[in-house]
Amino acid sequence: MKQLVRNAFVPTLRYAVCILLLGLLVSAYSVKAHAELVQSSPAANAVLDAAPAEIRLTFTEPLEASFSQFSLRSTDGSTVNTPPSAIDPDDAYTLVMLPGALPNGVYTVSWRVVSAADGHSTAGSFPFSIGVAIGELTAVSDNLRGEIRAEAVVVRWTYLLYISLTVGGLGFVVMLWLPNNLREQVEVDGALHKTLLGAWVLLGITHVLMLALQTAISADIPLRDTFASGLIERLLTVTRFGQLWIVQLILWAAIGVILLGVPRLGNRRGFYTAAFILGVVFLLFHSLFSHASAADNEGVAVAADWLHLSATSLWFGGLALLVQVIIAARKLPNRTEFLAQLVGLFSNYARVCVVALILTGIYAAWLQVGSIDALLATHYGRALLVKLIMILPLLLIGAVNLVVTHRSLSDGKLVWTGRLQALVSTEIALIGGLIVAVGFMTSTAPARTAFVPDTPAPEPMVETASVDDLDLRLEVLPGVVGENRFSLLVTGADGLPIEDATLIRMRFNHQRQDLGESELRPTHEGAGVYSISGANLSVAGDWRVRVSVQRPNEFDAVTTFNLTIETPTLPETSTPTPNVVGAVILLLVGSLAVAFGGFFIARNWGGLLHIRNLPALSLLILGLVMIAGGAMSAV
Amino acid sequence: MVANKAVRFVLVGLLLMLVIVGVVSAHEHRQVEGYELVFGWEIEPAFAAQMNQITLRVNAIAEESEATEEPEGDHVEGEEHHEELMGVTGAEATLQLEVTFGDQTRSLTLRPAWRDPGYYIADIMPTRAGDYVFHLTGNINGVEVDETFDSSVDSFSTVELLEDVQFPQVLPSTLDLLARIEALEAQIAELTAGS
Repeated sequence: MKQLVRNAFVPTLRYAVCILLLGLLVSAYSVKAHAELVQSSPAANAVLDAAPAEIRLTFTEPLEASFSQFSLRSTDGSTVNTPPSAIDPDDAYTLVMLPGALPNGVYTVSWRVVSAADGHSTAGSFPFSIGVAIGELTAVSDNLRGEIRAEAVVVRWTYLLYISLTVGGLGFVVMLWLPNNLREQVEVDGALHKTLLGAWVLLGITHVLMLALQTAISADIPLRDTFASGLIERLLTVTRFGQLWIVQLILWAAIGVILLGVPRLGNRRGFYTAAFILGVVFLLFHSLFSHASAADNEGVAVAADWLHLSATSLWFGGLALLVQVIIAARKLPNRTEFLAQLVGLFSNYARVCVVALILTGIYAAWLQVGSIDALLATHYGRALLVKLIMILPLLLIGAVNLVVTHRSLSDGKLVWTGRLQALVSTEIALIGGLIVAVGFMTSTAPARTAFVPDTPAPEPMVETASVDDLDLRLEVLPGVVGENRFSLLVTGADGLPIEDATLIRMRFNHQRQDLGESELRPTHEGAGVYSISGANLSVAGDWRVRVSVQRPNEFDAVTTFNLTIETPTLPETSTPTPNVVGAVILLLVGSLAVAFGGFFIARNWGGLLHIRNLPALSLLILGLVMIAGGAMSAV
Repeated sequence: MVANKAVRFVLVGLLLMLVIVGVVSAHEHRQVEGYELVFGWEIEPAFAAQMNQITLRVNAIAEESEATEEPEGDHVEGEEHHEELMGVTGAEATLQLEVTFGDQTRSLTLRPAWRDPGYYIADIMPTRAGDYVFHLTGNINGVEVDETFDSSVDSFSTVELLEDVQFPQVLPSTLDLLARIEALEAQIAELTAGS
């Protein structure tokens, strides 16, 4: 039977390795942002003689058809009645609309899309005009990438936790527990199996929550509304995320079938190996829908992300099961000897994971952060810093266990059995916290994308007027063409804020062009301030803003603000990734990965394709691919 | 001497106010139990300190059905409906109109327009820019009417500042001039008392 299982799974492992190698041999370098608008027809700023036959918006990433769309807004902010936009059948990066007849005027294209690569949403708007000889217009970015949903962090954190526990626990059993005949010395199989089953169940629950979360993100609705929205079915059937999610569900179910069947099956190791391989493939599908999958060099980036996630899982899941074994071993008469052997074996296994984590982490940091400024100034970068800070004590504890604990247990010092349990429990808590940081990082845009270098805080345009017994102070932020925040401070003759205005109207008229009048009605913010946002200043030039303030039992106060609006200077939305630096990073990290991978394989030699060598072999292969990619880039 | 100059300013301003700027059909349409009401300013956009009128057209909606030559069964597709509007006369006696601005309210007198049955006008010179609220009550041939027309909500003009259409020089408003005259009179009184 043992031979049968080996015959069944060794070819599978070889096949998986070959597939991985082929997949990794795709190379290129720079990261893309989330789906950003790169081109449009008509272009932002366009002044057309007649209505366009079609409107095309092209983005940096493929789009989820069901959750990506744009609409036209007129100068009063209302949505123009047009046919819906749709993905170009020949280009998954492009949205198209056939707007039909449009009367002359200024239109704002308002878009909101979800990337099919990483599931993140972006939005923005830009104006164009038909039949109106207006001044220069320009695009205005309104990117959502800075927003972080708290529930997203929680869901992703728990999901990563149970992935790690399930796959890492299986890895511990397959690579450490069963091959070394440790189970013959201490009876803990039942507890370990229950832990794996519990982790598997919780992984299933959080997998469903991930589906709900992605639905909420895609449709921009609260998480609690997703199950009643009817959108989940749509997400599952028509999106890339949905397809990957279904495959993961099948893998999860297969793991469950094996875990539930193990107690009734004779050869546990073979079936646990199968479940572990399914778990590793599950992780690969997770990486296929991550920040890494949005990189141009998707093959290398996804492989590195997969190895990073696998190493984390093996470390965390391994520790969770290790502490169970340590507790069970306390009753053994020769427990110091047993635990010394266990620590030695686990250290061998964990050090490969740590090296893989560090090397893939360096690559990911370069890929997703790219600069110290981005590290310090973005949510993603700061979360990464927290993660790095938490890794330091982990490494320290690992080193203590490797050197001091192992030696002390070998010398028969009983006190170190308790210390070992405490140290491992601390490691588990630290990794659990570290995964919170990872959950945060995966819920926000990569630092390289989000970081806007040297962008001064915009200064509002300020105008003042006095009418009757009121002093009015109008702030327009940023005071350029496009979306602005209008804040009106209303104070009385005594300087005290007016809090009881029942209606404030702001009516906008362009002074040179007949664009029609648009209106905003700001709402009370407190302290005499009434605010609202709107894209009413849709073109450059002189604008008249007629402001009227209605108060109970008072005459309306009416005055005029004259604003000169200019086109904004758009900041760089992402830092281009230099190929030279990328090549150096890949060559360096790749060389280290090859060196460490080769070292660990040689040190733990038991056959190249032995399941025990999977982490080191993966590291070696990833290193070779990185070197190849780096060399090609350098040439 | 200074006072005379100020008075001249007032006269010039009043003359300019007599310039009719334009008429647009941004009026509010309502239906009240078989009657259509069309409400708005005679001159739109309306400007502060300019003579204007509130106009109200009252039409009776008469629905006529004409049988087609080949009706198909008993379905209404075999009939064509027409709405015919007929001006209602005599409503000036049964309708009351009030205007409110800020904390002040006053009645306006509706009178029928000459040779235009169903068309009523009420003279008013809005002296301040802003949103005016009109309240129309009473009845039309026994049908009760209680309608409010608010320029901040409905489709007729807010009263705009006169400066929008003044050219080539923006003149001070009558209210501004009054304030200046009062200030000058106070100064004159002080000077007179000093001598």
